[in-house]
Amino acid sequence: MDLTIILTIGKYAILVAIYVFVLVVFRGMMRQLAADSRREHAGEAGAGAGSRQIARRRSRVRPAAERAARPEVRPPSREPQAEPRRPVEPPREAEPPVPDIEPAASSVPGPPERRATRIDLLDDPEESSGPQPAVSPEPEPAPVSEPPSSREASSPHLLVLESVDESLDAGERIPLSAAVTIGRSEENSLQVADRFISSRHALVCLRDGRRILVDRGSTNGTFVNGERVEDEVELSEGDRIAVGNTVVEYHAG
Amino acid sequence: MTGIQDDRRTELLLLLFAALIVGVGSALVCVGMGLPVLQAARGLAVVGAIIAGAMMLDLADPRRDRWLLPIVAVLAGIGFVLLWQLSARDASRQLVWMITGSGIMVAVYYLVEDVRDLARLKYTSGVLAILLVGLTLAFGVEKGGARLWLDVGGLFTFQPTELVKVLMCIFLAGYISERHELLREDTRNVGGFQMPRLRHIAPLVLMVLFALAIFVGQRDLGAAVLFFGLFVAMTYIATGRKAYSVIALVLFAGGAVAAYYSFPHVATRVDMWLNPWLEPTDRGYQILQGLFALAEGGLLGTGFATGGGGAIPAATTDLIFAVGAQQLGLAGAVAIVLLFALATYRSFAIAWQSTDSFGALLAAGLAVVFSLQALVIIGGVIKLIPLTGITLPFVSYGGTSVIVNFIALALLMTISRDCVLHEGER
Repeated sequence: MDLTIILTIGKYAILVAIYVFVLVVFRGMMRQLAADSRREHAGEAGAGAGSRQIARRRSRVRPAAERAARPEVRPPSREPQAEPRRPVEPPREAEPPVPDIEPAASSVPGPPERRATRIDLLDDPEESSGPQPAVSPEPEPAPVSEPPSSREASSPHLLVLESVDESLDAGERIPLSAAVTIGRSEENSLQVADRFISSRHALVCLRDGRRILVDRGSTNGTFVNGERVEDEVELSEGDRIAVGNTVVEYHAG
Repeated sequence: MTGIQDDRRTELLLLLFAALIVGVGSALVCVGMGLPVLQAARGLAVVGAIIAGAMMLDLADPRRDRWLLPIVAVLAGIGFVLLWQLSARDASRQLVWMITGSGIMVAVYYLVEDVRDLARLKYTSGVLAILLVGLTLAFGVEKGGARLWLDVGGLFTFQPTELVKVLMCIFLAGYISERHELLREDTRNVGGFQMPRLRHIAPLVLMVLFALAIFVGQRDLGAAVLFFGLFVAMTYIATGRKAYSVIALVLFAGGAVAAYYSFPHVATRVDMWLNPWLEPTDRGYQILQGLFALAEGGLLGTGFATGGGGAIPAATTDLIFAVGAQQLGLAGAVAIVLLFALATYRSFAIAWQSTDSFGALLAAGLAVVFSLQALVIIGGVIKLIPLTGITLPFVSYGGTSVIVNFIALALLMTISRDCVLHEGER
């Protein structure tokens, strides 16, 4: 047979084969992704939380933003040796990453009380999208002096004193991460159903190791110990923060 | 319900499919060049190295991604077949690099016990990246007008830029995953835009500016574009704020215009992109030869072992896509682009499914690097954007490039192992 004919037939065969390969991989990948998300949604539907589905979907759009910053869950004692050389010293790096000890709970938009309970629901069989054994901080051989439970109790949090939002019970603790936003819209990490609260009302964040409360131009204002916050204020232990008809108390640990 | 065993079988079948494609291609090259057909085993060895690597990975932990390796096997195999016709000597070396790279992939998979540990190495890798680039600038060896290679004891040369890509991904992922909440929420209003406060973003911007300055000084424009794209993409992925990307793109446009007027080598690239016929035998030669190759390929290509490609400068590395398009035509070129798209999609899917912010950002960063590289060089070859020298991942010839791409692949595998929730784990 002529060489050119062999080469031409071979060329077509290869082209067809590559396209078949692309098609097979594409279909297989899609099927697997669909199966994965079905599994996830099945788990959520079982938990009976429609709003969590929204939160979950949002977190998938911005995966990084909502996920727990797990490296920070590590015991602080391992931190210094890990980064021997630093080109630029970020200010808040120096102190122990206390505020970030709480994983997924605080940074997720949607009803925060559900998120907060997530951690305690590790044995819930429906918690397929929650922290799983492979990545949960608990099995970590953590050489910390205090047990995890007390560490959780001593992390910075907001204590709910009163709220018109019935999903926020008085006495509930809202763990604080590096930045927690308060407002009525669902993009906030602490969403409060209160018509006196603006959609983007306030922000509690950590800056240079200080906990700062920022009023984000809310209509009805943010009050700390009865005084209206102009722009921003540094929080100290036991401060009472009032937004709309909701009052929370700040505890550093 | 598909279990791990089913996944393993799917992957193996796909890898064998890849071997079939590459085997036929190699056999055609042998026939066309008058070599004994048994020599086709060299092409099969490329896929074989990846299959062996896949099996070794499963020995460590079989819960990992199942789609990337077959895609990479096809890309690497096609690259090898093209390279073989251009230079048999380079092809032999490439084969060695592929086998080494596959071995290094397995080693990384074994050594990195938990990919989240890498987050603690963020500053180390950031400093290392800057050092490597600085060293190249100071002691680099010049090849083809750009000083990108480091000579290691006269034994072999090494291209640090390639490694810097992965190091920068680790740095950016580590830094941003720790601060994404602050970057997103603790903002200040600057002229209608919500900008992050300087104290949160300054280290990031400094690092990136430094890297960019060095790359522009080094005349490695491809790397400069890649880095900037990586930075913008990762900031956007972490914060979800479009304003940051818009600002960055405006800055980029301004910087590009400034670079056009202040750096002659930038001006050359742009002028030759606008009209390569200004100097068809000189500065426009490379891009014109690439375009001739594309034209000769037509819709369905000239077929393997039909010569050609030799006239294109850097045909084995940067312009290998033009050679592929010549031999397999538009159909083959589109297929290669589709393969890149699939690999990118899969990498983003790993990021998407990751339960850890560092893992998600690292996977996304690697996906961005991978896809941007392909976009920049393929766009350059088809004269869509100015041609800048950058390798086509897994397809181009180049030891450092191959090995670093395998390291990136290994990192994606470890992310899919450590950060993605697997079936049956609850």
